[in-house]
Amino acid sequence: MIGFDDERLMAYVDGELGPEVCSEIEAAMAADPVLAERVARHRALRQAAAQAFAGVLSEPVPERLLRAAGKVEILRPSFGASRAAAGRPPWLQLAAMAACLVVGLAVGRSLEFGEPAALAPAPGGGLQARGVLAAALDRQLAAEPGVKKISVGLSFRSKVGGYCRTFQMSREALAGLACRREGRWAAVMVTGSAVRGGDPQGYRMAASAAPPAVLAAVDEMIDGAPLDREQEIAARASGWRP
Amino acid sequence: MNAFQREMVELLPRLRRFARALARDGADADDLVQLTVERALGRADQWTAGTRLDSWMFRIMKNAWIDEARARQRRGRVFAPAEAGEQVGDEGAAGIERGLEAAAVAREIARLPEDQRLAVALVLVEGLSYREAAEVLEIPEGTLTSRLVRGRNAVLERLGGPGERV
Repeated sequence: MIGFDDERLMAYVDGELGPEVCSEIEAAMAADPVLAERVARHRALRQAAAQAFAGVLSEPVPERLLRAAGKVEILRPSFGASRAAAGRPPWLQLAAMAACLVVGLAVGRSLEFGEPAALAPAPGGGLQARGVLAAALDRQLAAEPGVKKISVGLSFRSKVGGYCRTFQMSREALAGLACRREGRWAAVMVTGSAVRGGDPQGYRMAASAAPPAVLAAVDEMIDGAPLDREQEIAARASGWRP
Repeated sequence: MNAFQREMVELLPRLRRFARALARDGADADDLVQLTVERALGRADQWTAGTRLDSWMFRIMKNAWIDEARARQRRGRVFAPAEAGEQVGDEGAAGIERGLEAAAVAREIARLPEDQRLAVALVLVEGLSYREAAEVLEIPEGTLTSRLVRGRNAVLERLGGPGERV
């Protein structure tokens, strides 16, 4: 007997329910595959909807909008330090700077919105992490404060082998889960996240702030417990090769 | 440029995303963002510093969008057909479980009635909580959830899928 209507299941997927109701639903799902499938479909829709529009965030903001917002004083290129920290090879940094300068001349610091997309189509389909996001996934430990408003929540081994890491991009209000595949970070899920931290800088972001959709994806994929700091350091040293 | 404007500039990518979910067509969406920014600047004194600028601006955008939609209806202009979804989400296919493909979802969201699309865009695309989304839309939470349920079920029904009719 299924005692949950769609409204309740959607609220569950949206992270709107208290812990008691959540465990009730989870217990019911464990006993009822049909219910579990309904939940999975609602969750898949939430993820697909977020992913469908995620690309807009990495598009350069048209100049007319920056002008409308009063962004007319310009030209404060701020690549230097942050790009070096992102650890790209020098030639790539140059290429990125050149690409940004074109936009940068017009829009100054906001060109960062148009910098090399953090998420880009992967050769075999799907999305992969690039640029600052790939750098953060490569190097940043889970407990470390984020750079460029990107933070890594937790790292774990997936059931299918290989490492996965959750991430939050507070400026873009995006969160997701990326898994290491063939030398790249494949974004296996990306979702909108209104959690942007209380401070206007938004640099700090606790792992517990990950949206429920991300935590649910972790639950489905995780093999054992999340990596502790030492395991994470070792995994990083191995280039995230299992 | 003051702090208000700086924060607004930081919000532009998200405003564009919300607008894209509403307006289907990319140029219309940016027109909507521009109108929103202009209106927000015009009434900057009504915003309370320390409260959430994103919710406030989403609300302005919602009202601007509804005004625009009414004006279009008066002029007898028909909405752009629902090809719009094709502009977004082309890259998102893999990694989605249960065969829900991002571009198809965007297309179906574009076909929803305005009130349902607003609810779906705020909660599913922008990741707002029910309370926040209801505040933006200036409706009770119960109304929001019923629009969400109807909108999402309509999208799921049209997309079909395992065990369902297409």
